[in-house]
Amino acid sequence: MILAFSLTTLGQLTASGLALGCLYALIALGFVIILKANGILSLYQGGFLLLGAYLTYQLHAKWGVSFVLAVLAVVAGIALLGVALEFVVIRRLRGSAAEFAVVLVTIGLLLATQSLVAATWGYTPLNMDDPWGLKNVHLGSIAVSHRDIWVVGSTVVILAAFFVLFKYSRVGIAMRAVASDREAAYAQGISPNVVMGVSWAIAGILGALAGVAMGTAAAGGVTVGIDQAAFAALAPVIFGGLTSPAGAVIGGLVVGVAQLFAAGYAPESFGGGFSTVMPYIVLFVVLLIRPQGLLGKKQVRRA
Amino acid sequence: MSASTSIAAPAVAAELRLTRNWPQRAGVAVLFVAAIALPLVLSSGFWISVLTFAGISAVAAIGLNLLTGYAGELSIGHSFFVAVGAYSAVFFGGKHGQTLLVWLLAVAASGAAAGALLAPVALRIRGVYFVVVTIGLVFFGIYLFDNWNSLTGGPGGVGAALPLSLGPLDFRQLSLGGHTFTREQSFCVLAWLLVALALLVVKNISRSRAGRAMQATRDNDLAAEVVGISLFRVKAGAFIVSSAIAAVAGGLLAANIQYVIPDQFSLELSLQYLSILIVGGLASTYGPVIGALVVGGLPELLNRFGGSFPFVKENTAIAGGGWGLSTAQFTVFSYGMLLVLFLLIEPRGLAVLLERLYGTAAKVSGRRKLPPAFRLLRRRR
Repeated sequence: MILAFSLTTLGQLTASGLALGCLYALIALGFVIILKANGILSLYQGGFLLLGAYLTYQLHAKWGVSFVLAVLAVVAGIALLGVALEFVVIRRLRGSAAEFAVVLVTIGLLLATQSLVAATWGYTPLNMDDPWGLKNVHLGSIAVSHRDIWVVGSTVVILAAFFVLFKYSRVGIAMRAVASDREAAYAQGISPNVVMGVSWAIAGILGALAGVAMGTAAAGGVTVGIDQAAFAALAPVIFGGLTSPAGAVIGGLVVGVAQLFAAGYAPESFGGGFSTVMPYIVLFVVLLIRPQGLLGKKQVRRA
Repeated sequence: MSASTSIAAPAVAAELRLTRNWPQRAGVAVLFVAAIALPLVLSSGFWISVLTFAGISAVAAIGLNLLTGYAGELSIGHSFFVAVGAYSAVFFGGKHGQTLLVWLLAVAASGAAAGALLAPVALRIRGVYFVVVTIGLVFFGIYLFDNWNSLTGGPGGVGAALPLSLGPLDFRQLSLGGHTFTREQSFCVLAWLLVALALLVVKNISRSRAGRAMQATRDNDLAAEVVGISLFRVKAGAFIVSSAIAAVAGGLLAANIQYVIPDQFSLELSLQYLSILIVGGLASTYGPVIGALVVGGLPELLNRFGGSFPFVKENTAIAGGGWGLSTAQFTVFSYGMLLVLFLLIEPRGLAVLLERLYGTAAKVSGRRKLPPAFRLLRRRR
């Protein structure tokens, strides 16, 4: 078994890994925002991914709406769906039951969504007919797909917008206030309900965008399996320290690159599908070595 | 949070007993005899198979109840331990031809070993980590069993012809008073015998010192630690026993279908156990059994009767006939929706309705009050 090591392969894998990592970062950020706002884990991110990809396919490839318009409409629709889910279902669980109930309800909704999507669009990969297609550019000897460049570029823009919003906008400051001390924020006149609604909307937007990118032709088309990326993105959430947005982004990049390296360098004896479980291996290792995550604080419990 | 100081000492003593009084003892005996006799008097192969599947998922849900209901750790990865059980049954019973008793014990031991191996990772810190690890386990498990060709036959699966005789009892063809029963009937009896055994084990643990410790860590982990309970040891113990019981369910599943495929052990299977638990009643003795009778036979029932729903199609691969879910999709959809509806409307599950009939539901409990497992898992700051 010879490990063909070349700088080209390394660069190629790193570039693709960073593009995948950007998507993980977006999805992970969606988890983190809801975790930060109320300390609850919502597993519905995968549902946002699925709906984002399939609705864009329906609008653009089927009904001929222009791609940009379709994506904007889908993102707006899914943001509304997020708010509606929070308002109709999650809020009713919030006062009484635990984070437990939310996890259960969101996984129930996710798998129900998955079966509805599969029933509507079937299991065969669909072509979203995205503007990037399979075109590549060559940077030296490394081939980078147009789609990857767009993914990295738009992720940078989205993340910048997100951090500015989080840091300076009224609603962002309210979100941070609720995250740091719920009662004190409430006493200052910040409505936790608004914060929860906004965080679900943002999680929906991030999930939908990641879903569109996951469903492009260069990524293998729109399939029912794309919601698995949402489970894989739990690894960067833990890696980053559960409630740290910056940690989630770094975690996403690390996990994305690790996954591509596993795909490129793992010996054949590791078997098929090793790269797809790489995120979980990272997860298990992080929990063994540094359970509080990269930027997480050690848990200190006071009565 | 107020402790349950209102419970009088005699009530606690009654709770600690296996059965409370003679009527209840008689009731348990009648139910036990009914569970064993029902498969023998049913003549329809279909209903026997519904009952068998319900029994097998009841075993898994009873194990999950120990971990999630009593010890308060939500597992979405129970299907992984069911898979461990199914494949160790293939190994010990199929490949090495061990007898029923031996392979069942070996299967339980493998499940326990898998739980013990993973406990240090899964229970490292409290909170949502456990949930995330168990999700990871499901995907890791499918990868592992897909590639472990020598044992599992890869993604295509492996046959499982398991020995099913226990001394004079042969669970492929039970004979009683000169009458020989079919394989389906006999296996159904075996499944429900193991349901009874699992119930007894979990009930006895829950009323033992270890079980009280589990409930203490669930209700208030800080207070539990202060009185000298080791959180890790208690939760790891629950995890190990629960994994062992799940593995036994996996062994039964393999023996029943006589074929094991890695894809069977997906998140959807875990979702089935969770919805059984919530529909039946979390942290209640008979909840998982009630839930399994309602939810556990659902795949079989929908396979047979799903066609009578207008939105369920026999085969979605065939074009035309309008929009519809396949029976498999509708099954998963039902699990999810049952979970959501019960958590929103009656998080205590069907068990509480039965308890109300029995008249033991605490009179003070308001309609909206949550079961201890939920009330006390509420977020603390």
